[in-house]
Amino acid sequence: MKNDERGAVLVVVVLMAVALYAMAHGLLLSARHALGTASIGASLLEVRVAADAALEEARLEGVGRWADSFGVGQRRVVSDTLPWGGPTRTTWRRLGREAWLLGSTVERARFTGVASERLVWVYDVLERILEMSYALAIGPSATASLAGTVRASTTNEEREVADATLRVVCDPWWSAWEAASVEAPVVVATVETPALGLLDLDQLLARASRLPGATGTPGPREVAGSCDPTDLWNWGDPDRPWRPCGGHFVLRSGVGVTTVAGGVGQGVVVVDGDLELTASARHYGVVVVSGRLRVAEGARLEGLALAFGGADVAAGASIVRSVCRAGLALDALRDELGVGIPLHSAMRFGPRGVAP
Amino acid sequence: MTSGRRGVSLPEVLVALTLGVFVVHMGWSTIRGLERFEEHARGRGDTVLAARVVRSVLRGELAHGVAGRDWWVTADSLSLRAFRGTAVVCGPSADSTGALLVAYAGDRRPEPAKDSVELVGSDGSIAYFDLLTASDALDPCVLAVAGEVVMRWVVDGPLRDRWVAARVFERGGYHLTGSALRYRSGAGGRQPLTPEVWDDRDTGWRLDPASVSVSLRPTSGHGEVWGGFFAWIDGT
Repeated sequence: MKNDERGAVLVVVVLMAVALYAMAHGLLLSARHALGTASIGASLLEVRVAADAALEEARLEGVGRWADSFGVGQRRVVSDTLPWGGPTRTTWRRLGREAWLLGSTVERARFTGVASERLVWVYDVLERILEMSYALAIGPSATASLAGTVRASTTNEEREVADATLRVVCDPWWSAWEAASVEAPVVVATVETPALGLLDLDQLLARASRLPGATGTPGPREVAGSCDPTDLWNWGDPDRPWRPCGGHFVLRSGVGVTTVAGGVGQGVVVVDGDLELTASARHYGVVVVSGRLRVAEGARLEGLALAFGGADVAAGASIVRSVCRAGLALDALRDELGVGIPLHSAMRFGPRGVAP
Repeated sequence: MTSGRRGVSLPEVLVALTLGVFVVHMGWSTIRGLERFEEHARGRGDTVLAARVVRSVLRGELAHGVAGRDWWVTADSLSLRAFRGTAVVCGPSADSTGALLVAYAGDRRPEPAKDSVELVGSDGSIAYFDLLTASDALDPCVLAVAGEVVMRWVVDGPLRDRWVAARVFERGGYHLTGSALRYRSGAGGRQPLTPEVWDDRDTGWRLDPASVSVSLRPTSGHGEVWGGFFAWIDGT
């Protein structure tokens, strides 16, 4: 039987199906595009955060001893792989004795070279000693009563024979360097702030271990043949550098009136208040005091003293500038004090790029 | 010969018409629904994209500056020194003309007509100068690395010997007007950086003493109000 019926249903259905497919496909493409751009944004954010994290980590670690042999203009690149960010390159670029451009770059497929940069300050032992060319520094309006001895060492011979241990612990170049760099160290200088460069008092206090009491007698403490770093009055053994505590340098802080009654120690002591050295106490290194420094009863401070509120050195007591002693202390405390301090307050010094 | 069968053409036609209209209506509704959904999705996508651009651009810009010194927010705009590049200071130019030799890298070359320069000292001191001339230098600079151009800059102020780094800025402003984020460079026009997706009546800068943020209300049906934080006013 011949079927003469004709219809357009199939055609209509096909056309509608094609139209629906086209629209659905457009919608799918649109969604994929949106997902793609969102994914790129999220990945870029991850990479940027990874770069910032790597940079912050490096800043907090600071520079190591390798920086001593690093000239201005040289760069050190450290490659690492962050578990959350991928391959990272951190670059320390020396712009000055204490100024560094710290950058981090994260490499990830399509985001090669996403970077973050900060300008940081890290103290340099030689630069600090060059800047602090005095035996004692006081604030602009402070006074100093110097009945005892306050002096800057003047000759290499005097520096080296003043204390027999110096010949053991100090390289001769310390003295030679000072003689070549500092023409005439002043005895008493004036400073604007109680700080070691950009390490201000607050930052020094934050990094130092707080002494358990206002008065104490520092000295070496050995336990089972090794130096006991847990005792906060163990300030090393400068008289016997070959002993376990001979290489132990401390970073200690006190608040209010802090009295060191006798004993011996080495390192950096920071006091937000007054510091008293009495009863033949001897300290080798650096002291930073926001208040007044009193050295009496035959006490001796060898290194550098910064007493913002002024100083009293009684008869029989002494403050002697020693590049060797100050340098040894600052050198030994790099891990504690060598954190990179932002030299510029912007969160990012450079480079330009897409940020989260 | 006549057929005794009675026809049902009219009901068939009516049923066919009804079904046809129903099918066409369903198809049309589906297509319209898809169109509306696609339009909504596209609008929503544009809104999200715009918010992402706003966040990315403004956080990036503000992170390079310091509140009160490099950028300021008023009721209708964010004015700023927009960061365009960094330079390492190599030292004074060898020709003893008071020019500065730098190794520069940035988005574009410095343009004295519209750029200013921030110089940073090794002790953290900062000074701003207008850039008078900037040209390629033939002098060597040991501090330069690959990707940096050694340039000779002349600025409108005295130089000291302890500058270690520099940055180049242009004067600019961001505006939330015309349903989009717009950037205005110097005295130029406002160029849109995002699609026009926001309702201007409820979109703008949030003025807070401690921070800078925005409130963005998309045009109806394209998402909720988005509030974005960008930076603290009191520094980093």
